[in-house]
Amino acid sequence: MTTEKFHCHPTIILEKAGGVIIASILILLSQAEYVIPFFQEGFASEEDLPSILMVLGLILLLPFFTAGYQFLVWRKTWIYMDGTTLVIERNTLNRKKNTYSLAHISNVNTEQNLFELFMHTSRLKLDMENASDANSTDITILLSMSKALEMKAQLLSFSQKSTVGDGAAPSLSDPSCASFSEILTHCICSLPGYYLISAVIFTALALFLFFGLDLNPLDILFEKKTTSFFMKSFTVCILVFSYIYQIIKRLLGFYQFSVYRQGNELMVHYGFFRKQDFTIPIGRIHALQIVQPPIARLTGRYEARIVCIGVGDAQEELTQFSLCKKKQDVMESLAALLPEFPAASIHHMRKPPKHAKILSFCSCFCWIMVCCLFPYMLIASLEPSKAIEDASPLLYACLSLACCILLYYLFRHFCLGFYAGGSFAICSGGSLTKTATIMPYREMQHICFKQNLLSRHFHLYQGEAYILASEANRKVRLPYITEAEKKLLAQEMGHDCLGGS
Amino acid sequence: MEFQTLNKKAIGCMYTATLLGVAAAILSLTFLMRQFSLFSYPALAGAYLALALLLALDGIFSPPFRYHRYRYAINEECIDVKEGYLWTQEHIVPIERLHQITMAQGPIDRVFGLTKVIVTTAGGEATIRFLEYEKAQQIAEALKKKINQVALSERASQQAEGCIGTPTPHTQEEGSHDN
Repeated sequence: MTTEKFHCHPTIILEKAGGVIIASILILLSQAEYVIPFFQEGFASEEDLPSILMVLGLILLLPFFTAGYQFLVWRKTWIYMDGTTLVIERNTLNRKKNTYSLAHISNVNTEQNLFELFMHTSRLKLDMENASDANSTDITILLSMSKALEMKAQLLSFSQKSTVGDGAAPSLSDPSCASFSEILTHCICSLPGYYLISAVIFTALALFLFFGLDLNPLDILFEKKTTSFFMKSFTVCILVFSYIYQIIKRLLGFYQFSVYRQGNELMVHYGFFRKQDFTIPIGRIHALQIVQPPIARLTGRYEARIVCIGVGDAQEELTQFSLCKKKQDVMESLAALLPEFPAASIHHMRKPPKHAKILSFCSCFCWIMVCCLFPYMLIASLEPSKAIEDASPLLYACLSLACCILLYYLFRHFCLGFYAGGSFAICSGGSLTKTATIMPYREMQHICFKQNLLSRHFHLYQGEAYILASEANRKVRLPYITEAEKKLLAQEMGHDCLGGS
Repeated sequence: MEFQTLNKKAIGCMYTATLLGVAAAILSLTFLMRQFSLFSYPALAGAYLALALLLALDGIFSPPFRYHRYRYAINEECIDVKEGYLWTQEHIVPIERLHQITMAQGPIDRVFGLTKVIVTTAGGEATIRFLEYEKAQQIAEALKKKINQVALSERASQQAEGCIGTPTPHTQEEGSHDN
C-alpha cells in the first residue's frame, strides 16, 4: 500500500541556499568601498569593464542559481511510504530512489534550529540501525511541525523494535524539566578533565602576566617590548570570556532538560537554540555509562549516559540520560526509568587483580623510557657540552612529561574495575574521568582479548568488547581480567563459545 | 572446540610480508637519516643501527613464532582466532552476530595462493588470515549458510510474535518513475 506522495517543507530551499546567499552578500558588502566608486565615478578604463561586470554578475547571479537549483531539487523530490518501506525519490539530473526498510529504523527524533523555530518547522531525523551510520545513512526530512509529529507517530508504529521489551515496562513517568540550579550544578560538575587542566594553565598565565615578568604573548605579535596594563587586561578578559562563553553554551544546551519513559520508549528533550527531542526505544539502548568527571568525583556525584545508535552520532547531540547529581538520585532515576540496566551493580565491581599493579607499573615504565628517557639521552648526546651546561629546560620538559605519564597511570589504575553478572558485564576505566559501562552480553558483538609477555605469565587479559554504537563508544576497554572471567565472558556472549576448550 | 593450524604455505607468506615490511621501514629510515644528514651524529647513527638490527631480528624470528601460534576454530556458536607473537590476541565472534563475510586476497596472498576471510559484525570485524583458497571458500560458504539459518529463524520467531509485517517487495531501479 502506497501512501500519498509529499515534498519536504519549502523552507528547506532557504536553508540549503542560505549559506551561498549570505556569503554573496558578505562578499558584496566587503567590496562595497571598491564597487560604489566604480558606479559613481565611472571606470578607469573601458578594458576593465567586461571583467568587472563578469565578477559582479557572478556574485549576484550565484545566489539565484543556487536557490533555483535547490527549488528544482525540492520540487522533484518526493517522499512516500510503500508498505513497510520509506521511499525518497529524487528525479533531478542525478536521479536517485532510496528505499529504506521501516523495520530497521532505530530512532525517530525531531530537532529544530533557530530558523526552523521561527518558521514553525521541524527536522525529522530517522536513525537507521547500522554500525557505521553516524549520519551517513541517516535520513533527515524537513516538515511543518504538525506534519512532522504525525509522521513520527506513523513511523514509530512501524519500527518493529519499539514493541520489543519486557512486559513489566514502567508506565508514564514524571516528565518534569530540570531546574536552573540542577543544570548549573551539572555544567560545573561535569567539566571534563582537559577543560580543568587548561583552566589551571590559563589562570597561571593570567597571574604570570600581572605579577610575573613584564611580558605579554600579544607583544610577540605586535613586536613590542613592554606591555601596557590595557593589553594585559585584554588578554585576561579574552581568556575569562572564552570560559564564560563555554559555560553559558553548556547551560543553554541543557535548557529544559527532561527525561521520561512512555512504555518501552525513553523520551529525552533539551536545548534552547537547538531544540532536540529524542524518542529512544528501550530495545535500541546497547549500553549504559555511569560517568564521574573530576569535580563530580570530588563531590560524590554521578551522571548517566546511554549508548545507542541515533543519539550521540553528531557532535552536538548529547547522550545524556541524567544530569550530574548525587549518587542516590541518579540510582533512583535509573531504577525507575531504566530497570533493564542494573546500575546499582556498580557497587559489586571488583578492584584490579593484585598482579595488575605490576603490569600497570611496567607499562608506565616503558612509556616513560620511550617518551622521556630515550629522547632526553638522544638530544643530550647530540650536543653533550651544551646539554651539561644548559640542560635544565630539556630536563624539566622530560621530567614533567614523565610525571604526567606516571600520574595518568596512577589515576587510571584507581579507575579500573570489573564485574560479570548474570546477563551483563560492567567495565570501569578512565583516568581523570571515571566511566563504568554496563553492557548486556547479548549486545556484545565480538570480543578481542589481548596479552603481552608479562600478562601471559600472570594469566591476566586485557582487551576490547565491541558493541553496536557510534565510533566513539564502539570499543569498550576490558580492564585486567582473569582466565575464569574471560571464559565466562566468552560463554555468556556466544552461549557456548569456549565450550570444548 | 578444536583449533586448526595453518597450511605450510602460510609461513612463506608471513616471511615475505614481514621481510618486505622490514625492508621498507629500514629504507625509509635510511632515506630520512641521509636526507637530513643525521648520520654525522654518532648517537643518532647508533640509534639507527640498533633500530635496524631490532627490525631485522624481528623479520627473521617473528614469522615462525606467529605461524606456530596462529590457531582458528569455527563451531556452531562462534569463531575463535588466536594470533600474535610477543603481543597475542584472541578474537571471539558469535556466529549469530555476523552481518557480512568477505574473502580478500592481497598481492602477496595471491602469490602463495592464500586468502583471508573477514567476518563483520555490527561492532567491527575480525579476520581469519592465511587460508588456502578452497578452505576459505568452504568457510565462507558454511558461515553464509549459518547466517541465513539464523536470519530465517529470527524472522520466523518475529512473525510468530506478530511484531513485524510481511515485507513488501521493493525495487531500487532508477528511471522507472512517472514524475
